[in-house]
Amino acid sequence: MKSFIKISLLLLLPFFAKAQSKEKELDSLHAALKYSANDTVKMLTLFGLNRYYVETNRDSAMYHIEKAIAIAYKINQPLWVAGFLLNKSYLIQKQSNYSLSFKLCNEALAIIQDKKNEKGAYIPPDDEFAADVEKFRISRKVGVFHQLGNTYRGAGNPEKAIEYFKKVILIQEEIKSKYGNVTANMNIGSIYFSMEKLDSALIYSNRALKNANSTGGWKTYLGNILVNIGYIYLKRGSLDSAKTYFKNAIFVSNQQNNLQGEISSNNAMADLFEKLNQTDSMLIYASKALRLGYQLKAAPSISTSTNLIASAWKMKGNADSALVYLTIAKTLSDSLNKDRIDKINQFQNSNFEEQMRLEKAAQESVASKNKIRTIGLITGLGLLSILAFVFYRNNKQKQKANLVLEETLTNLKSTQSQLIQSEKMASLGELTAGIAHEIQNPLNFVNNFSEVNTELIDEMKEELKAGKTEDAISLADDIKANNEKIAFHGKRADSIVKGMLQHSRSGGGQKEPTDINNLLDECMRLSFHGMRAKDKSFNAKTDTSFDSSLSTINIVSQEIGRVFLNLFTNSFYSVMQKKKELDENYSPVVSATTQKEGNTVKIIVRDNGNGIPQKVIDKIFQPFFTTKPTGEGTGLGLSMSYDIITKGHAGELKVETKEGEFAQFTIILPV
Amino acid sequence: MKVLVVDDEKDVQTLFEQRFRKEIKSGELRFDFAFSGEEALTYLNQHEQEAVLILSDINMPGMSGLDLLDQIKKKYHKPPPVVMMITAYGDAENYNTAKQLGADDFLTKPVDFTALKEKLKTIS
Repeated sequence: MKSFIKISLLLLLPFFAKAQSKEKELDSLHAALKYSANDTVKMLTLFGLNRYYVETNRDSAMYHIEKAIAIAYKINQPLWVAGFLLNKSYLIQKQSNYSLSFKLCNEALAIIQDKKNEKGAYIPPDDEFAADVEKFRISRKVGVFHQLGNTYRGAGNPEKAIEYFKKVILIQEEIKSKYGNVTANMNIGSIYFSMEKLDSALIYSNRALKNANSTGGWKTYLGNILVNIGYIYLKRGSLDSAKTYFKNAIFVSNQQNNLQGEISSNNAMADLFEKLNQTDSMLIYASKALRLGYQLKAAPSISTSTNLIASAWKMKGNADSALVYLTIAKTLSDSLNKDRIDKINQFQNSNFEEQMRLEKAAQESVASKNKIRTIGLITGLGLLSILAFVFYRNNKQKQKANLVLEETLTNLKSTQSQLIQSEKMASLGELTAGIAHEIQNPLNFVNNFSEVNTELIDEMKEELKAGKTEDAISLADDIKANNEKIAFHGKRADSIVKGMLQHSRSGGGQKEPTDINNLLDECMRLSFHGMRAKDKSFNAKTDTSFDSSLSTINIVSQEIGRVFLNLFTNSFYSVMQKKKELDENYSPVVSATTQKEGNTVKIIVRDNGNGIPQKVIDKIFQPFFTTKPTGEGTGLGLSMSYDIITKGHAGELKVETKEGEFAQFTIILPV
Repeated sequence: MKVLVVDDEKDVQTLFEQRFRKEIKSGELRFDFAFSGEEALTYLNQHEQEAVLILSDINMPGMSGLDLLDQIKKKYHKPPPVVMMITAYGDAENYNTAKQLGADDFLTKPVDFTALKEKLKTIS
């Protein structure tokens, strides 16, 4: 029988024997038992002895736990009775009496479930729940589920066993036990191994190993865990790793006085050497395991060892010896199996009713509590499902809304770019009339001076004919001067048209040296005339104060021009509105100033109009924000201006204002 | 006849002086120039009744041509000078406003000097 080592363990109370050697521990326990008059101390000592013997001498372990149970009853410590019943259940389970083992678990559970039993409960001062008797009581449940896991496992129901072991881990997490679980993880690992789920097995085994190493008190089972991991590697074919684990397991088990572990690890070594065809080594380890097995009276282990020895002899070609051991093994395993099958049947048949009854009893003792819990749970579930439904609907709606929003966003983005274009066109439209006027003026000069020149040339001809050279020369001078004027006004018209075209063009302009004073003046005039074109009654005084020391600066002139036009248009609009309100008592003034300051140029556009209300001052640079009536402004002017100055030219655009008195925009551009 | 020309464009002076050089030479016409509405009013205050004809631009920074027209027609009425508006905006609204305020004539830029001369003849 090369089955996986059976490790079933009981985990109850942390009982630390950290630095002490196992021998010393035993001595001091016996001494305590002998000399102590205190029942509690006696009880704890008996429990300690039970734990000492649990994996080395189960008869002794049983003897001590029975005595401990008796004392616990006597001193009225039901929670301790429950704990000890579980220890007993473990020992009984080891005798393969699963029905009794199960019954003891249920008895223990009934006691633990009863909150009344918290009263006067003794809690050792070093217990992690020393301050919280309820948690102390609940922590006992860990033992119940753990033992139930063991029992189910023994009775051949690994799924149910895993379920209980997982419950153990869950409760420990719930009560926030500082001790990471060692044995439940270990048992789950080994069950998964026997189910051939190697990955899961390795995860749980490693968890057990980690917890055993970190929580001091649970090193007893280190050997078993190492054996389990070794077997996983063996199964995977990593023989070297398996060997290392098994060797460590033998060493640690011996050190921790874990006889069962020592047997298992020796058998494991024999298994390994069988794979390696090293029959001598195989015999050495299997024989050692067999000897220890007899010492522990552990029939399954004896059977395993005997089988290994038999197969070793067979491999050596010694058929006689092999037959002897095989016969022993067969007898053992037959009786074991028969016994096991009988007891499992007993457990499954005769105890079904009892099982139900006990579960019911355990439930009844906490029936009222459960009822409240159930009602609470149902209410909770009801609420949860309502909430879930609400969230689901919300979510659905949100998803729908999101779709709509995404679409809207796309639309908005395209609309925004259209709006920016139409803002340009709108301001262009506003300016068209102004531009027309600006063009008509130079044209007036071009047309008329050229006509005058024609007349003057005729006159000059006559003077020349008459031989009046002096007069002719004076006329020629006039013609020349007029011609210069024609050229000047022609260029003026040209630059106006160019400016208009540039204004309507979308972006992409190059930075080039520009006379900022000229541009500012031109924009002021354009804007002024544009305003006048729209409203004939409008008028305003325009002041300019230009720093003549300014040389050209590198800017995208149509962009900066757009900013200037915007600021002027706003200013003129503002003073116009104020004029409408105050009429006679108000003289509108819009001024433009340039100043060189170090490496920057400061451009100030100021008006004495209505100013900007304080509450909207933060919004004026936001796109689509406008104080103008619907249809009069796009709300993009200042936001575009802001972008042009800050992003396009690394400059600053600031505003100062006093409501009802003035608004002043300052542009600072780097030279 | 004395004519006051009001326009914010300084070159207007040269233009008028050249266009009317014969009339100026012969003493038929005399021109004075103002470059804003305010300047024109100051001039009129100082030279009352001297200018028989006023030619004014409409679109000027500060006091506009129409404001000027309004002032002249309200205050200088003994005898009120002839006021002709000259503007780049030949639209009906401008025209009507000017007429309402008492403008005697309405010309658009670019100025047709031949037509202007004809008109001046009828006045003088």
